[in-house]
Amino acid sequence: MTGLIVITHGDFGRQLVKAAQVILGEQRDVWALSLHEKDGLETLSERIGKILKEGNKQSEGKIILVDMFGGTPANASLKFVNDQEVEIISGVNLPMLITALNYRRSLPLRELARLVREKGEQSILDVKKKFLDKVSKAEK
Amino acid sequence: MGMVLVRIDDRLIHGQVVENWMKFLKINHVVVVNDFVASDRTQKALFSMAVPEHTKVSILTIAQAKEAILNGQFEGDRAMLLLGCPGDVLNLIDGGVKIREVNVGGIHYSSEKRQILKAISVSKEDIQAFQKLDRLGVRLEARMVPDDEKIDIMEIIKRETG
Repeated sequence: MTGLIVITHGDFGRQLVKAAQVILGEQRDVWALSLHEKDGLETLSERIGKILKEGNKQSEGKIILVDMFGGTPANASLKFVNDQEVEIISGVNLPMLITALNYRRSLPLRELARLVREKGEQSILDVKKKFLDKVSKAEK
Repeated sequence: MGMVLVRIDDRLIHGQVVENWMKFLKINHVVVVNDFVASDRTQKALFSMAVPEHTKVSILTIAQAKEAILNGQFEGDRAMLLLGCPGDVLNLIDGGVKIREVNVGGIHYSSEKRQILKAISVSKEDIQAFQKLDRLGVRLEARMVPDDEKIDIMEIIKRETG
């Protein structure tokens, strides 16, 4: 099973993991790292490194999900860019995290990472437009 | 296969249902049974949008659902029935539909209701309907998501109503 590390500015990631657990129930092998004002790039990298090392006992590879490309969580993750057992995806949202949790037992690391990224891209919709299209289609 | 799960959940189709129950039970047909939703075009469009692509969705009144089930319309599917309250389940059974087990996922709180579990609040009518279902031999398990522990809702009601 692929391990997941959600890394964000502030407690967004921690709460995102909680939100996913409301939907899916309790989950193991999911870590959330919060970047606060006092934290620097190096300390964050160290915390990631520690999880990668300790978590590797049970998990088959890990996906790091960060909030924003170019932000410190993403930059700190870049330190592990050459690790074959690690994938890094930015723009994490609830559909992405749920997809990762739902498929991490059945898909190998690379494919899971691809699916998570695709799901993220598909998850942003103009809800109003989608809804009005649906209603007008139903009327025809 | 037919009806794989009958669930009381007044949010009807939502995250827990789509991302968890449907995948867990490999559901390919979601059937919302609700008189209000089935007779409101906007609500119907909203809920039919909420399921993943390639999943069948039917939004029926209680009378329509009764007929569809008795005609065996879901026999070839793995269907999940979603209803808003125990009274609606009772109506289906009174109409001749066989239901042995009901999952109670969520009934939201309002001022005239009493909260008996984290996600379940019941009105007087709900309690009466649950008691009738119990007398008919229907197993009533409270469980929000598949991994949660099954809770016998009648035990909770007995305790709460003393």
